[in-house]
Order: sequence, then structure tokens, then C-alpha cells
Amino acid sequence: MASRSLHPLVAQARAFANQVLRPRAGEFDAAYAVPADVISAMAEQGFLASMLPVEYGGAGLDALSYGQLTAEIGKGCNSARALLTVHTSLVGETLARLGSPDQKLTWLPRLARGESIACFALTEPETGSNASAIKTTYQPVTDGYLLQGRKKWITYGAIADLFLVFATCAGEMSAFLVERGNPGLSTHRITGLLASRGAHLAEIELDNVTVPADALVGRLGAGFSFVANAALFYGRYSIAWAGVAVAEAALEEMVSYARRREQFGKKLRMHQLVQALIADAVAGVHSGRALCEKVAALRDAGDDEAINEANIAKYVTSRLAVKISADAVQVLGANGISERYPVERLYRESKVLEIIEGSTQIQQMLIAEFGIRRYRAPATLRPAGTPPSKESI
Amino acid sequence: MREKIREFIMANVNVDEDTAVKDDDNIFRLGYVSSLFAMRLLNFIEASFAITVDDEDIALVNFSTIDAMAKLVGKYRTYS
Repeated sequence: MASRSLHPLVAQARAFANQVLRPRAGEFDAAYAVPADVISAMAEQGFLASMLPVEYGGAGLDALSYGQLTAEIGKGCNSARALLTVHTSLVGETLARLGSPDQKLTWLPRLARGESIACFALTEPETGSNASAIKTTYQPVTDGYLLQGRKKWITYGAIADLFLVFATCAGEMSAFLVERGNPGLSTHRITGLLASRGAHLAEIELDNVTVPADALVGRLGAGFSFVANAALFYGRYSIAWAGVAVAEAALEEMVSYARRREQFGKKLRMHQLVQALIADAVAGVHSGRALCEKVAALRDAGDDEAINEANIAKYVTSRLAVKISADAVQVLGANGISERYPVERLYRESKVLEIIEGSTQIQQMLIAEFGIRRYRAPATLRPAGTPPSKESI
Repeated sequence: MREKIREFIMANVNVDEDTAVKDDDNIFRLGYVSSLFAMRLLNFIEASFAITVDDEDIALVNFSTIDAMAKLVGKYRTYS
């Protein structure tokens, strides 16, 4: 796959990341904001439209190109990449898959042009991994639904125009589109963060918010089983590539430093223990990218195995990002913990990838379930009711 | 059609080898799969039977049993 020529939009994203994002990522991190002009530039370049369908103003990228584009933006700035994850993947792709014809017609062109910024509001102050236990409620009312509750850790929630909100009623979860400006909706920026500082994280309050009947996404009660699960699949695919991005950026910083820094009379790159760290990082980046490319191929082929493989890819690359960025800090030594070098930020940013879109532990549970189904020795695949042979015991 | 659906379900459930899934077994209620499996069923049904399920039919009740899924596929094949 590496030999396939890049989609022009991916090459554009690489140039944008190198010229705009990477030089300023530290500034965004310190200011707790990817600025509006950068978000507008990302929209103007067509990155926000990348994976959305052509008929709704999107670029209609294939899954591989979208993953590569995500990685290029992520190498430049993890918080800018987060916009692609929530706006384009979690909300845009989900609406394209499960939205009503009217919702697609109304929202997808706006999302594609970046006229409206979208965010995904599932997590709550008391509910993270156990997403089906959310406490935000909805009640059917005349001509719509009444929403009540709080959401937390919502990426780009502080500046979003459109919120995909999940709520429950009598044990059934449903999903709704809520617009900023709706009476009762307020957002509160979250600061004091280890990572994702530029990604406009917010707590969202829904105080008797009324939405019209056509704000419902999917059918009533399909909020978790279909809408959230579809969104989280798209999100995991995006985060899998985000892991590759952080890992590869850390590898580049590690190698660049090792090529110029001298200790004990020779460049760091000549020291075998440093070479071991570089070798592990190279192997990690290549293997992580290969896993993501496998998921991309499955997605592009319409193969439902993409869901299992996305879990594996997300699990592997997020851990690789943590390991490789930690090793990059190690190679840079004292400079590695200085904000004057990008690796301390990459190290911080890597950790959040193990938490969002299904934590490492949730992925382990899902991967174990998959493995217990898939990897049985032939002797155990006997017909029902047939006792195992002595040899197989 | 039912055997194809059954084969897919059996390849994706963690049950003992001697467990059989009957046509009217609710695979979610019986705990054979979690609701995380719903999207995989939708993708499988659409890809395997070359149909596109409308958003109003994307509900767990239409994917809970082999009978329900066969009925759903039949409905769209009738339309096409």
C-alpha cells in the first residue's frame, strides 16, 4: 500500500501540517486553543469534508486516504487532529450512515464546509467506559423531546455549533442533534489538562432543553446499539491513525536529535542503546501503520471484520504512541522534559489516546472476546455432541 | 438465507460448541452477543444480501433473531 500514490488532499494535509500546525502546536497547547483561523483554514482546505459523501459536499475520500490524512494532521498537531475525529468521524460519518435524509441534507454540507462545528456528547461526569449507564434523560413532549443532564470531556464542545447528544428514557438510549443557542444548553471550558489542551474540551449542561422531533438520530432506542456504536467505530479508526501520527512524530524528533547531539565523543545515533530505541520505534510505527492500512482495506471492501480489526489497531497504536513518545523523551534526556522541544507534548498527548474512544482495557475485553471465538485449535471444532478424542484432551 | 445468517452469528458468539442458535432465539437477550454486535449485524446483512436498510428499520428488534433478520432481508428483496 505504501507504493500507492497519495490522494492530493493527503499531500495537501502533509504540507499544511508541516507549514502551519507543527510549528505552532506548542503555541496552541499553551493557549488551550486551536485558533479559529486555523480551524477555518482546515475547512477551506477541505480537510473537514474529506470523508463525507460527495453528494453532500464532501470529498468522498476512501478509508485509506482519510486515515492517511488524519495521520498527517495528527503529526502536525494532536488537538487539530481531534477536530477531524469528532467533527468528521464521530458526527459526520455517523450522520452519513444513520441520519435521516433531511438531517443529511441539512447538516452534512454545513459540516463539510466547516460552517458548523460538530461534537459528540456521550461521556458524563459519572459515566465513561460504561456508556450505556448515562444519566442524561429525555422525555417525549409535544412535537419533540425534553433533554436534561450533563456531559463532560466533550472534545471541541466549547466552540461546537452542533451536539450529538445521547440520553435515556425508561432504560432505552436515543441520540439527538442539539444546536448551540438552544435555550437551556450551556458549555463550560475545561482547563488544567495533561493533554488535548488545544481541543476545546467542555462540560455541557442540558437544562430542560427542548428539541424538535426531527432532531432524533436513528430510531428511538437505537442510540447505543447503532448510533453510538457506529460513531465509536469511526472514532476508533480515527484514533488508530492518531496513534500512528504521534508515534511517527516522536520517532522523527528522536532521530533528528540523535543525529545532531553528541555524547561521549560521538553522535547519539552511534550509541547502540539509542539505536535499540530507534529500532523499536521504527518497527512500532511500521507495524502500527500496517494494522491501520489493514482496517482501511477492510472498510473500503465493505467487510464487517473492519470493526474487530479497528479495535486491535486502536489498542496497538495508542500503546505504541505512549511507548515511542516516552522513548523519545528518554533520547532527548533533560531536553526531553522541556517545552522547548515537542517530545514532552507528544508524550502527554499520547496518553489520552489510550483513554478515548474505548480505553485500552475496554479494547482488551473486546479483543479477548474476538480471540476466544477466533483462535480455537482444530480439535475443538468437533461436531456438536461428539466427545473429544483422547489425543485432544 | 437463514443458514447464512446463522453461520455468521455462530462465528461471532462465545458459546460452547454444543450450543445451537434457534431461529427465534433472541441473541441479545440470551447474552450470546452484546449490543456492540448490532452494527456488525447491520453491516453483514447489507453486504451479504446486497440491500440498504432504511434508517427507520435500523432497530434492535429487527436484528434480535434469525427470523427477524430473514424477514427484514425479505422485505428489501421484495422491494428491489
